[in-house]
Amino acid sequence: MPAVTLEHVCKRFGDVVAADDVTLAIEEGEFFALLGPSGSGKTTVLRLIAGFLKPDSGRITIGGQAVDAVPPYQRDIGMVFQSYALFPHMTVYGNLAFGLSVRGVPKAEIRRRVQEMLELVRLPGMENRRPHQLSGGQQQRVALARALITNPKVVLLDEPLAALDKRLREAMQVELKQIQRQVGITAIFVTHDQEEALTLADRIAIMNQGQVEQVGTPADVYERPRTAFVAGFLGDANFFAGRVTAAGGGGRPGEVATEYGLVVRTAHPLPPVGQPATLIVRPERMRLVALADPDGGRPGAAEEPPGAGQRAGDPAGAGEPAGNGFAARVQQVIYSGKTIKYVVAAFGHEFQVMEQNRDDRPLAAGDPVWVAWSPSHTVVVQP
Amino acid sequence: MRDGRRTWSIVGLTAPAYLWLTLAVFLPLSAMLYFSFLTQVPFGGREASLTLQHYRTFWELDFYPLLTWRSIKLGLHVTAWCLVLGYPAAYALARTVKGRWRESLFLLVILPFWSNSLVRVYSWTIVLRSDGVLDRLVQWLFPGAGPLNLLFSYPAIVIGLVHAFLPYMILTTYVALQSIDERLLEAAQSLGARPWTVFARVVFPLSLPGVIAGVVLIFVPVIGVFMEPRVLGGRAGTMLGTVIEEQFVQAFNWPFGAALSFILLAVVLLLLAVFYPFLRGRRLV
Amino acid sequence: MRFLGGVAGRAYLALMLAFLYLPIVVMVLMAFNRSSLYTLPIEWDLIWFRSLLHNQRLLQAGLNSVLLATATMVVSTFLGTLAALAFHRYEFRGKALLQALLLPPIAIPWLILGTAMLIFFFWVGIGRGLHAMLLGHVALSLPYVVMVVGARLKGFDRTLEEAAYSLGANPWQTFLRVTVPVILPGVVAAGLFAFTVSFDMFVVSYFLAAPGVATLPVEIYTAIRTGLTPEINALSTIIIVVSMGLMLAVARLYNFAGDK
Repeated sequence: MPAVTLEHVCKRFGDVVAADDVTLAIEEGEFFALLGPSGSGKTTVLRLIAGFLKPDSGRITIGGQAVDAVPPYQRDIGMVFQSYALFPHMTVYGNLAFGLSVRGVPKAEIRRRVQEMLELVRLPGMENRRPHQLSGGQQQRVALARALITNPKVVLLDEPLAALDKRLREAMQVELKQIQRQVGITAIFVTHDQEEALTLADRIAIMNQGQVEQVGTPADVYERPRTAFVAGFLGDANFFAGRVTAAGGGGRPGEVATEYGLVVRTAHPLPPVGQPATLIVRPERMRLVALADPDGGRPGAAEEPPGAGQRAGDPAGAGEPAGNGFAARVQQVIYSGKTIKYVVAAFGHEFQVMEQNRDDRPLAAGDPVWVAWSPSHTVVVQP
Repeated sequence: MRDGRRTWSIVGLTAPAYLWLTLAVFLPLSAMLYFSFLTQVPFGGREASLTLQHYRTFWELDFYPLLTWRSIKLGLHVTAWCLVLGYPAAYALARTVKGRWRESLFLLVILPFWSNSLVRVYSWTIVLRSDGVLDRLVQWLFPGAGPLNLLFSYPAIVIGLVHAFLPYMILTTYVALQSIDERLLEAAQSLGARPWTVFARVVFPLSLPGVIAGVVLIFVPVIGVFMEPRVLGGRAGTMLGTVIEEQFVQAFNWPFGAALSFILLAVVLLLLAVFYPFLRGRRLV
Repeated sequence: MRFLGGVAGRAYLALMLAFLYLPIVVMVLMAFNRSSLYTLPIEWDLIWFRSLLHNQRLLQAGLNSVLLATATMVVSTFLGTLAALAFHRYEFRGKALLQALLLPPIAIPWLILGTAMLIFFFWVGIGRGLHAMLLGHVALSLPYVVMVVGARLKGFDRTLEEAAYSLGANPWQTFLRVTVPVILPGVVAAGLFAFTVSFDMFVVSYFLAAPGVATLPVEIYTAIRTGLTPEINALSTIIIVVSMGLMLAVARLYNFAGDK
């Protein structure tokens, strides 16, 4: 039985549809991410689950029970707010004890549980501090401990790490995931940071304009985005649009004649022949091969890479005879340490290629190159 | 159903306060407007009819328009002095003093403003009376100088009122000045502006809302004062306010007093209307 | 040049403070002077404070003032806090109008309001006296309470209430255990503020005082107008100390300077 479900939930604010027919099922013990740009409705969905908003239509269940008529304080949830919302007039102890004390838990039991939680979030001895005496990371952990202490059915996290700086955020990501595993709680968290979602979540729902575009594991949504939006939001992508010329199947790649006059092959299912199709390729799936002679002298077919010997260790181009490729010229080299991003130009367009920083002599702007990639890395998306 | 509860919450929370305000402010003001058109007070079985007589009296005699102008002039004098004395003080407070010192000094400046105004006016009578503290100070500094005899004169009223209202001007101007982003001044300097230019072209325009708020907060009450002119001005202290008070306390001509009050109110409202566009940016609640 | 500006600024501030405090200090000193004619040098004596203890009229007025100010504080803090909560919590039609209606009690000279109250209260049979003064004082301090509490509420993070709900607290528990404690300093400051407004209020009390029923400011005014009563110095000293003490308390609770 799923821990939390949303069935055809809609919520509008005036003319703005913040949640448009949202259907989700979050499993018991799952770390589930709601990912999307600001205004995509992810926070609305979280607040609908919490009960701070009431859906216009649709149904929400928590722990198998419909909660439409249940106020937030009876939903048995825990919530971590972006601003942490620690009670400024209480100590750390008071903050942690609050949820138990409103439930009428005996004092001794509260004392024991608070100690336990402080151990869990590695803040023992901090019970008498006030929130403003804590660092950002410590406040974050108190907020998490406060949300977990009542053993809620689900913990909701609203951009929990957004207020922390980059280093602390990465450390907290690891810790957050550890604690969630250790407690075994169902967690739903909202973020606009795709890396954070990919790192932390068991599954991700990507939202756009109030709609869920795709739900899947991090690898699913990154490797096989269903829509152009998901592909673009989860990272850089090179787009190819065109018409299907060969549907493929039975081990043979399908083919799409793109607007550039280039035929791109894909190992993934395509619409019927003659239909439009959009293909994406991640920059790190493409390989660059330096061309000796700028003015061609290339072997006949576009899809044939030029002699694999020119650049050693180039499996994508060399290993697959029926690969993809085109000639281009390096436009810009963006160096960022362990990787180098190349912007290359061809057909009057720009493409991005990401390479590991492995070569002694990287390519330079103006160099002619051969861009190559495999049909299995050419993903078909809805436009 | 939820909307119904919401409405009831709003009504329940606001109604007590606004009923009270209605009973103690809005109905009295309406009653006063009504009374200003009555021939006499309708108490004790006396018959009253509607009349414009009181408003006519105001315009027929030179005395009352002159009196009104006197009150406005007093307002202008007091406001001008408060501005001249208060702006540099606010500037010094906001720009040259820092940290805890600033907080304490600020508190010291506004503290008298919250002590009893009557007591403060009274204290000036001790300072200004002939052979009082000020006279002695002057004689000590300039032996042979005659007594100033400031008490019961127009300057005494101005001094007392400036003392009473100066903290307003310092307060509003200080708030405006200290909210100016330091980086704006640096930006102006980086663009080649000299200190005086920075002040004239950046600081002063940005502090203007505070100055205007101060001007209104001082000018409006000052044209309606009656206690200060009476205590400090003696016979020189006849103002619109004192005449209104007389109508209620000594002459018992309430309808005429009401008419005078309303003319005063009209002046106040006119001023507020003129300054409203400047004050609008400052949200009250 | 900057240093000179700093020195000049400080010197000027000192001058302004001297102007603001000179008469008050003189008056306080004179309260301890044995001579009733303000002669110098001062002969230190507590004679005026002692004679104040035997001035039944002033003692009664003092009691009236304290009672009135206390009642004003309680009533206007309660009513004003409710209204401030409504403004903070709800968006509704007419809200801007209601907020604008808080201005007249502040912006209209008290002389006009005092005389208007006199007319109306007399007309409808409310009459004069402490109860009439209470009506007036509460009305005049209410807007300040709404503003002070409103300012505190503005800084109140609504997610604190949501956090309480998410932890299982019902609306009542949330109000008592989260909302009230967080806004309490603002409410207390507003209450002290209201007390001070009432305690120092002269104009409205003056018009609403019934024969034999007056407050301290009204009695002081009468004393000043009728002649020399040096006990007034002693009394004024007490009033100044009380008022300033209260305002210091408010300032501690409510940061007036604007920066932390």
